Amino acid sequence: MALLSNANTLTRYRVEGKDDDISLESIREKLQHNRFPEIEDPAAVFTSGWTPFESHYLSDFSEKTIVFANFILFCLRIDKKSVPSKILKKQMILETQKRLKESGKEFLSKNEKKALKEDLEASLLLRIPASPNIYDLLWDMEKKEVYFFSSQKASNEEVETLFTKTFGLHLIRIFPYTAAMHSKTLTDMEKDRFTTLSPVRFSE
Amino acid sequence: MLDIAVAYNRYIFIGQEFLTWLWFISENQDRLFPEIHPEMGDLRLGNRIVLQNRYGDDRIETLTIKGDTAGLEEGMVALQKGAVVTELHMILVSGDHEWIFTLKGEHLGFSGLKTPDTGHVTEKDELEGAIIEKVFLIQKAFEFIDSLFNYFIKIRTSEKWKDHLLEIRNWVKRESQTRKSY
Repeated sequence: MALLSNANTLTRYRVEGKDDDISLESIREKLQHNRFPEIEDPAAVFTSGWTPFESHYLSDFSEKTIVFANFILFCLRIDKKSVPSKILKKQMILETQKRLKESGKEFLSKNEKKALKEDLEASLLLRIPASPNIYDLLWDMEKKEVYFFSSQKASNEEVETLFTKTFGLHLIRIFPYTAAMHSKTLTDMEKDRFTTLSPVRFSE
Repeated sequence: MLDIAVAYNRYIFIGQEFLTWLWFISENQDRLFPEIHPEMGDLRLGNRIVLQNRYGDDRIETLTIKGDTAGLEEGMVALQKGAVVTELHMILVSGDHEWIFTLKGEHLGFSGLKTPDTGHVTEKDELEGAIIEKVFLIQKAFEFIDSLFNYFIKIRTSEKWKDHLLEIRNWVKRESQTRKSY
């Protein structure tokens, strides 16, 4: 529960798109439809989906709370598999020795080594469990803002893609340009002038 | 509206100038904070600052200063050489409450955001209250930063900017000479 942890790293988004017909029940249905798969594919290197805030590893939304006061709260789960380089290196040495002994050759060609590495990696990936990562997502529907509790490039890209796929709405990251353009405090003239700015030096 | 990816890169410098300006006003014009947001008492530099200098030939020089007792002499010298602040660790004060965080100029996102203490959740029925309290405190932090950013952009796009920039340059010159002599 990153949201309730002592220190938070987060990215803020503005939600854009037609959301008039989105009800709480339709949000639950859409989340359920794009939830993290309960049956994991042992061959999958990357799997992602939504999970309830209260149960990260049981992704059924039907009995879980998603509404907390005015906010919708759920999580993005990303499971990734990767073979540790030291294990791959060890397996490469052992398998190379075995093949050289069987064939009587003195060395493997570059292409043979490449094919062997790919085979070993594929075989190890089937045996290695995926490592899960959970990121909280808080949706303020009134403000049309989403707070995503990560700033990692890969997780941010995945949440942007999955959110659009799930709800048909776009997450627009708030950074200097979008913060200025969507500001309710700045005038149109100030926004126009903003677009013409260029960097200055703070020294003479 | 520009394409988002183009706009992100094109205006990175605004976030960096904003952080550099925050450093300046935190040391020179702290009376401004309650004017910018009535609930904001003070904004102090924390224990980490990252500066970056880009040279014409695409070389980038990055300077990180960290530690509770670290001096900012090198930071001032870097500003004097043309660097800008890319990350700033700050302590924002409102009444008896403190928000501690690192703000990145590139995307105005928080990392390591510590809000004022909230109650610990021991029972399941306390969860909703804890979430609402925490979200309120996170949104308050964004509200303060938005107020500061909007204030900066208002100055940056106005005729006042020339005078303001001159003040910042004088501060950089003065401080880099003073601190060099320590």
